[in-house]
Amino acid sequence: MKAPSQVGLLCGLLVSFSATSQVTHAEALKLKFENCRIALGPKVAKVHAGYCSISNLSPDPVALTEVTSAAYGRVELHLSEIKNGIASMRQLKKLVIGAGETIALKPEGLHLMLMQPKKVLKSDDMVSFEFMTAKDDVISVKLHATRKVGRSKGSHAGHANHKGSHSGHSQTTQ
Amino acid sequence: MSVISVPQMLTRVAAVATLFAVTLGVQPAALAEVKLRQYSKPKVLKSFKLQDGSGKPFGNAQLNGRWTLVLMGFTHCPAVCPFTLQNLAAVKQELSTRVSPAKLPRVVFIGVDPDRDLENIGEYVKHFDDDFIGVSGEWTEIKKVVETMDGFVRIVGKEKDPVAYDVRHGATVNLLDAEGRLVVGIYPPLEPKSAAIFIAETMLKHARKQATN
Repeated sequence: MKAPSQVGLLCGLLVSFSATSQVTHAEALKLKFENCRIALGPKVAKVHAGYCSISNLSPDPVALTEVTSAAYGRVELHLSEIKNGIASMRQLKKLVIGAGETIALKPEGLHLMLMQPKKVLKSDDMVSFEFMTAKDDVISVKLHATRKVGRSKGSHAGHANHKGSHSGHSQTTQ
Repeated sequence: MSVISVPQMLTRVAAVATLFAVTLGVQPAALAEVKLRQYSKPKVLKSFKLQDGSGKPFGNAQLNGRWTLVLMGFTHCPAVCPFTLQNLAAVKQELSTRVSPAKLPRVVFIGVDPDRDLENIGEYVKHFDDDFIGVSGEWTEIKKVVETMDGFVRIVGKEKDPVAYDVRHGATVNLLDAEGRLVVGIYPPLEPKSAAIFIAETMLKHARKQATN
């Protein structure tokens, strides 16, 4: 894992979690993760999709460059598209979220491509992921596993906190 | 990179049919548009031989007797295929209020990535509906099916990355009549209620036409 280079930014990276849709903002909120889930799909599926709504509440763009999880051998940012009736998919090297922008990872669009699961996951498992930024910050987010593959109708928020060398600044709010 | 077909649409112009389902008691304003690939007359499919999830042969004969909805995809598809299969389950649910159980279309998912699909495609589709049928087979036979249904498949980057390669495929849902002939292709996005009304209406029109002939 990369060492955080900007402790100040880390202090501001957010973190929100709520099973009841309540989101408490950290002192200097920067990124907000909501509706984070893993669509497990069929039990025999060897590839899963991760979805989340990510809001950048900072005055500067934030680029997510890598996502990892101990639960999967490979995690990649992917974009699925359907053009002229043809479905295709490609990997994104980074995902830039503009200042004040919200980007939704959702079916038939941006998603986390979750490959080589290391254990059998079941509904309601909470799975940890680390999102890395271009500035080497690391944000830990938990995704809620579900068998459903469709669009989220709820507002179940993700569970995130930031990591790094600044122990004592990580937050988990409910 | 391997290309197995390019879409050969008889009527490639995507007709946009706004459904006026007054006869079915549905308010038109509530319906989404259904984009179609239409044919001037039902298209007879070329002969093909695949196998279902239990290893039994699946070919043209298995498409007879009932109407069929056919989707092509692959079991390592993380987003589009499972989402469409889930929508097809919803389409079937909607259709069940409009079509008698005996005439309810079967749903067939054709795995176009046989190296990975043959193993568990039967169990894969049962997640969405117990009656869904998953089939796959030899590459040459898949190619025949894709071509005869005016589909599209291209496997990209498999040599470079055997884990995360892309399988580009047509996301059109094909509607076949009870004689296994291709009647119409329904382009994505598949909105379940609109699609169900369209399918029910198409089946009804087809039955009326046959009755008058």
